[in-house]
Amino acid sequence: MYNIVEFKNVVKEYKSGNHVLKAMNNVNFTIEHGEFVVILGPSGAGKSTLLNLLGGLDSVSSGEIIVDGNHIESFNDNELTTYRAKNVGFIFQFYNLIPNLTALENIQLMEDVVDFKIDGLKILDSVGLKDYANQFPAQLSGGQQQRISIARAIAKKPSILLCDEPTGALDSNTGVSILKLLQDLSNYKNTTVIIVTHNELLTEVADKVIRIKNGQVESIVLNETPKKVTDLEW
Amino acid sequence: MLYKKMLRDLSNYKIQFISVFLMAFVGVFIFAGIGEEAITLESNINNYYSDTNLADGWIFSTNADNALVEHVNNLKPTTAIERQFVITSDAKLPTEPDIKLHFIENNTISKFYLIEGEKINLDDENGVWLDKSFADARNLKVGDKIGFKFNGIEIEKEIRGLGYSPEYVYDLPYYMPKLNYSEYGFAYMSYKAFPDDNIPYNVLNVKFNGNAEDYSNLLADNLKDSYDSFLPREEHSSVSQFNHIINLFQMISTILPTVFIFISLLMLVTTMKRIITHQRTQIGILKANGFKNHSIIIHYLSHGSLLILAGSIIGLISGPFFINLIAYKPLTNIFKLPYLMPSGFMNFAYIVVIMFLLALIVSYYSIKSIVSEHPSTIIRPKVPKASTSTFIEKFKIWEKLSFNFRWNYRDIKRNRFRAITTIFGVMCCAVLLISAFGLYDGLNDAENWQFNKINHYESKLILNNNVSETQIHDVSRQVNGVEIIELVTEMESDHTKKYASLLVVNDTDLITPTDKYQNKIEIKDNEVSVSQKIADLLGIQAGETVSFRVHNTNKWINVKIDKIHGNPTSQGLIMSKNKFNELGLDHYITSIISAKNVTGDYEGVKSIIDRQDMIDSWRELYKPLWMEVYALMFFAIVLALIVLYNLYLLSFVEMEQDIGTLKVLGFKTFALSKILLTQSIIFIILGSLLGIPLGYYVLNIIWKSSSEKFFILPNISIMNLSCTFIIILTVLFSINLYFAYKIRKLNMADTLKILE
Ligand SMILES: Nc1ncnc2c1ncn2[C@@H]1O[C@H](COP(=O)(O)OP(=O)(O)OP(=O)(O)O)[C@@H](O)[C@H]1O
Ligand SMILES: [Mg+2]
Repeated sequence: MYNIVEFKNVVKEYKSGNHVLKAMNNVNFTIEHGEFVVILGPSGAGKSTLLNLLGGLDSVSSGEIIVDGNHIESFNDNELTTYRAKNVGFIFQFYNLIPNLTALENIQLMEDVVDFKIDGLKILDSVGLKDYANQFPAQLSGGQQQRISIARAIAKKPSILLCDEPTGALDSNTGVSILKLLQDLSNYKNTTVIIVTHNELLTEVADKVIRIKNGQVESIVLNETPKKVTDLEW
Repeated sequence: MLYKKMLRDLSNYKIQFISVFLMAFVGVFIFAGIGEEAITLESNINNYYSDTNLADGWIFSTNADNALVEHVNNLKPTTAIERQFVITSDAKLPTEPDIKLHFIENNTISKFYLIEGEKINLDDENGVWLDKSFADARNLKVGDKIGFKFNGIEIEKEIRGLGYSPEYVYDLPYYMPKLNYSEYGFAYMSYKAFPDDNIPYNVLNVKFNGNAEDYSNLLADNLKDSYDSFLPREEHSSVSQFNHIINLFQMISTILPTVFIFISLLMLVTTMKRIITHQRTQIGILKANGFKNHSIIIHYLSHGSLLILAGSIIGLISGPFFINLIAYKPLTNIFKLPYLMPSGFMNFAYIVVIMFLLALIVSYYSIKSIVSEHPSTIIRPKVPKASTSTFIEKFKIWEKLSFNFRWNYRDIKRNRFRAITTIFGVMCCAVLLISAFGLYDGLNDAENWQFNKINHYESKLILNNNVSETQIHDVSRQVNGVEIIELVTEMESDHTKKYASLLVVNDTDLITPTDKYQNKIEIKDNEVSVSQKIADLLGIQAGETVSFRVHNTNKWINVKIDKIHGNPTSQGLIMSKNKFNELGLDHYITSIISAKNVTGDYEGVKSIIDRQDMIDSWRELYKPLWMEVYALMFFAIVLALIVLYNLYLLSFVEMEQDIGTLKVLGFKTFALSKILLTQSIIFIILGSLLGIPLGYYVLNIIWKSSSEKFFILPNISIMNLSCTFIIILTVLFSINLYFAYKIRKLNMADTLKILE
């Protein structure tokens, strides 16, 4: 296994007036290909910031972020766009589906950024929502919407899947089914999955747990025998 | 706290609210500004006419003796009568300017309006009350002496007062090349100032009840040959010229400003509706948190309505002020008026109320419909109208079509309200621009038609009316000219009676009649042609018969109309000299036209008017109108800019969230701004295509409603179309550049946090 992600001395500053806030203060870690990673930390610790930097939604103030051998901190806008399109799949806390497109269309939409054909129905089937293909997001429950958003993310066949509190807005049963989908992706499809969460329980299912506090890495723990999501006690 | 939210909202939707404010402002500014100017003109002239008791008509007679006065006085409708001797004199000043002298017995009808000096004193044998414009131009003061020569008589008087007369508001004697107040004027004197006891009175100013036509018939029946002619007020050249200008003002002050106000109203209400709809989830959150319906409604009502109120009030006050500022000078240059008081701005205050109320009502209903839903459903975004895929989506080619096309196709399909509003907005802008530029084109076109397509002569020699035939032929030969007769006639059909012109001219290259499309036509030696406008007004067509009489004669003549010609400002008949004589008519030659630039003195020639003088004179007359047309064009562009910008901004705001998400998912900025651009181009093309015929239609109404003397076909020139198109496209592309910039700068991390 090789390192698909590497953060080297990453600093991210937000300026507001003459006050400078270090949301990311000298962060270092690596993630291996196919790993199921959980990032934990209290609110405001900088978890979303980390994910946004990794996903190419925002740029670092200093330091290096190396993904698959590429220094993405030096990418320009165009390169970042291509990077987002080809390498990364996003799953957001608020799903962020396009309200004017049906479930199926939200997935098919991705054909326009990748260069292969997407079988939308098959992917919908894999998240268990084949019957909802022609529903609009507003007609679906939160859990269903989140599954569509996972389907949308995996449709691109990304090498990294970034999930910001994917279960944050869901009840535990629904949450479990979502997490199972994500763990399966890591185990059987060799996709690197990175999940940001508040939920301590998830440390038991992760291959690697990175704890963040005040913009710094507090600890990195490797889990030799990760549990299956379905074996968790909620 | 809600108040704070309102301020935040205002600053978040800053640009929309600024455009709401500006649209209200521009709409009312033009509507009230142009409207008040027409009212100003009309109310001032009406006040002036009633202050000075302008005559209802004038009876001309070479022998207006006491018997005639009594006779007219005994006619039932006559309410007042006043006798004058009116004669054109040469003032004993350099260049011998022509001063029309009025020797009066009384000063109660068509009163002299005194500005400085003492009041008219009918016992004063030595005083004269002089035209103030003339006195100013000649630097004459009260107390100065001035001499006059007429019919071999010379008199000298002292100026007692300076002022105006309602009979000389528009003062351009027919033989004068152009307005020039130092070359002619008028003066009033007591009958006692006349050197002889036997004054050859020749005019009766009359006031009467009933309409002028009945009165005219009554005179004809009763007075027989004891008078020469009767001139009703509306046909007096000063009155009719002023009416002509007022009519043109009214024409442009009604339709186009209404289009302005209509567009701004429409855009205001749709903007309000869209802003509120866009805040749907926020409304849901407020409601879910226990805010009462009415406090939410009041909160949202105050949003834009107050700005609309402010914008329209400012427009209401500044519009009339501004238009008056630009039109005042050119108006006072062509009219001799003692006062031209702005009519204020209250006449159009109602439009502010309408604007405000409509904004309130629309806001109220759009909030109401959201608020009355259950909070749980409001918090969720509205479910788009379930739409079955249309048949084009079912075909295989659908897959082959570009993302851009498919996205826009669906977006438009699912957001019909937005699409229709935008197309409609573009259409309105196109109508506005086309009709504003059309006014410009039309006025230019009229001038070009008049001076380049019909009249080709360089000089017009105005003849005295007592010149012998041989003398006239002599002059004609010398200047290589063409003799013409220009007369005023009355024309009558089954429906109505109109005053019209009569031009008697033989086939010549110097005056070439055209049809209404401005194509040269030939009126044969035995044919009679009538102008389109008169034909329309009288309801007659080629082949039909119409009766007419030369003004001041009693002989009605029936004549068959062979042709219809077009003329921008002269409405009436054209025939050859032979035809004229064949109809049993005879008249002395009134002028000679020549292709040469004739200068110098000729026996029997009163004055020479050259082409440039006529063009200058024309331009001066239409200058106040031009100022308004420029204002209309400028503000049409401004309004179009605001409206288009606003429309695109609204669309962008509504699409922003989706665009942010697409960007996160890896769509290129270029592809995304291309989506917007494609959509705008579709809307622009559809909107403009609808706007062109409608613009033509509006223009047609404008020209049709113009003065009875004015005729021009609506014409949308290539210039006009290209300007309209260039303006719309420029706006489109600059807005698109701006939006491409906004998309590039769009903070993706932020888009993900917002849940709308
Ligand atoms: N756009 C921004 N401008 C300024 N400061 C920001 C911005 N985004 C985040 N921050 C700050 O950066 C810090 C980290 O924020 P971040 O969103 O990464 O926290 P988080 O760990 O995701 O918290 P949570 O678990 O609540 O989502 C916070 O203190 C936040 O206030
Ligand atoms: Mg977060």
